[in-house]
Formats: sequence, structure tokens, C-alpha cells
Amino acid sequence: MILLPLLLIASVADQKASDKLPPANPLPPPTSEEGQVMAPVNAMFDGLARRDASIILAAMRPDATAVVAAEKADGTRSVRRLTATEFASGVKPGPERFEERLSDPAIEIDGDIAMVWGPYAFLIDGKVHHCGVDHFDLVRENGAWKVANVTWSSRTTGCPAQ
Amino acid sequence: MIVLPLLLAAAPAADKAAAPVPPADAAAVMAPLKAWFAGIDATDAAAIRNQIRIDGGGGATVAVSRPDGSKLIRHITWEDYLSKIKPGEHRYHEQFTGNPLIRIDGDIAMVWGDFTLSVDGKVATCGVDHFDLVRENGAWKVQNVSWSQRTTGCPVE
Repeated sequence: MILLPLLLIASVADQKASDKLPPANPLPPPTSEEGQVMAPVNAMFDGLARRDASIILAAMRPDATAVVAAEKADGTRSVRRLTATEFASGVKPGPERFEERLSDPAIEIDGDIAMVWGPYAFLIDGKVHHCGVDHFDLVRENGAWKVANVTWSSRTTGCPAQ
Repeated sequence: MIVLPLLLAAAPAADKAAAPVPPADAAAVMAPLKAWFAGIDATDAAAIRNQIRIDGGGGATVAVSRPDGSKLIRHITWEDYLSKIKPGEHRYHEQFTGNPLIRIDGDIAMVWGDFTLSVDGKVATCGVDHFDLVRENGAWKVQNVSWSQRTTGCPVE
């Protein structure tokens, strides 16, 4: 997950719409239960890559939250919590290419609750910017899985090179 | 900081998510949940409050499945949740019925496990408890909890 530094947010304010990626070709809905759980997770990553807050918000419940536990290189630590709106508002069009890669996530499902836990790397313009673990808390309502909360660890040291 | 080198030593790179959690670290993550369950048994809201990041903006989400097939999702604040924990005429007991799945990375952790809630010695509801924990100032606390809740197909004890 990304928590955009303020400077980064400021620098993207005047970007043109032409910097956006082309429209997505809708994929068929996944048929496996795990695939359905991963759909809103992947949608959030897609929203980050397209720097489109509306895609991210559509994947989250209105009362969803985001929590980041960050370790800075100097060893200082912080925990910060955001509403879904606050979280998504940090994602705006801009020149840098964002990519979040989640590898080998563990997926657990019971009835209408699910969780996804897996290591991620966040790349800016193809270079690893920070890494950690994403922990998604999902709920199914009216047949659709949505993210109720995402908590992630974030560090800039010891990340995979690519 | 402590967990990461251990995980790396245990299983390189991509397998980190599935690496076993050292018992001492698992016990530290489970400690607030044990205290929480003890608080349910004792109908002691203050004991549960101590396990929560009470000002952390999290809360509780329950997904109820009723015997008639109807379903309900409800999200409540911690204060709402705690207000329901008060001494009364019934005895409550909540427990994990198996070994919950525990994952830790730095200052975040998750616990996912089957539970039963008994009222006056009989299992009333069951499902899965899913805890989202954060470590601050060396102490693990609960940021969010979600659980599934059903009254059919539960273990008898």
C-alpha cells in the first residue's frame, strides 16, 4: 500500500489527463471464491496504477479504513489510520508510474468474511520504493466482496530489488 | 525488526507469508486476544478495552448468517461494542476451537480462527474471528475485528 508523501502529492497536482493509462478492458468476473475475494484487492491495485481514486473507493466499503505501520530507515516507527476517502484522496493523476506487487497472498474465507495477507513491493517508475505486508479485511454484502480495512507494514530497507 | 530476520532465515523470499511464526512472537500476538476472551467470560468491558487501540478509529464488523438464510453485515464502533459487555444473568464463554492462523510482519499481525461462543454452558453461535493487530510502543493491540456468526452447524462443545 502507498501513503503518498506530501511532496509527491503536491507535485502531481497539475498533471494532464493524457498521462493516464488507457481504459481498462473489463475482465470476466472470476469464478473461484478466492478470485472473487481478490477482485476488490486487485481493483485497488489497478486504481493505484491508474492513479484513479474512484476505482479504489469502489472497491472499499463506505466505512472502510486504512492503517499503515511504517518503519523509517532511522528506526522510528509510526501508526497512522485513514478513512477510505482520505486514503483515496492521496491518489491523483501524475507522471510517476505506480505499481503494487503482491506475492503469494494467503487467502482465507468463511461465509461473508475473508482476509488476504501477503508481502508486497511498491514500485515507482519501475523501482522499488518501499515494501512490507498487506493485510486486507474483506466483507461480502449483497453478493459483492469489498474491502472493510487494509492494514500494511511499510519499510524502505531490506526490500527486494525488483 | 525482530521478526523479519527470523522469517528470512526460516524461508527465503517469496515464502515469507507462509513462514512459521516463532512461538514467542505468536504468544505475544495472542496475549491481547486471550485477555479479550477472558474479558468476555468475566463480562468485563474494561479488560477488553485495554486490548483495543481505542482511539485508533477501528471497530468491529460482524457478518451474521441466520438459519432462514438471511444475512446481515453490521459495523459498529468500539464504544458500541463495549457497551454490550456488561454483567447480566447469563454466563458467556468465547474460545478458539482450533489453532488459529497467525501472521506477523514488523508491527502488524493478523489472527484468523474458528470460535464458539457459549451462553450458560451451551454453544450459541460459532464462526471465524479475524483480528487485525498493530504493535505500538512494544504492545500488540487490536485495530479491527471482524467475525462470521452462525447458529447452525456449530460444534456442540
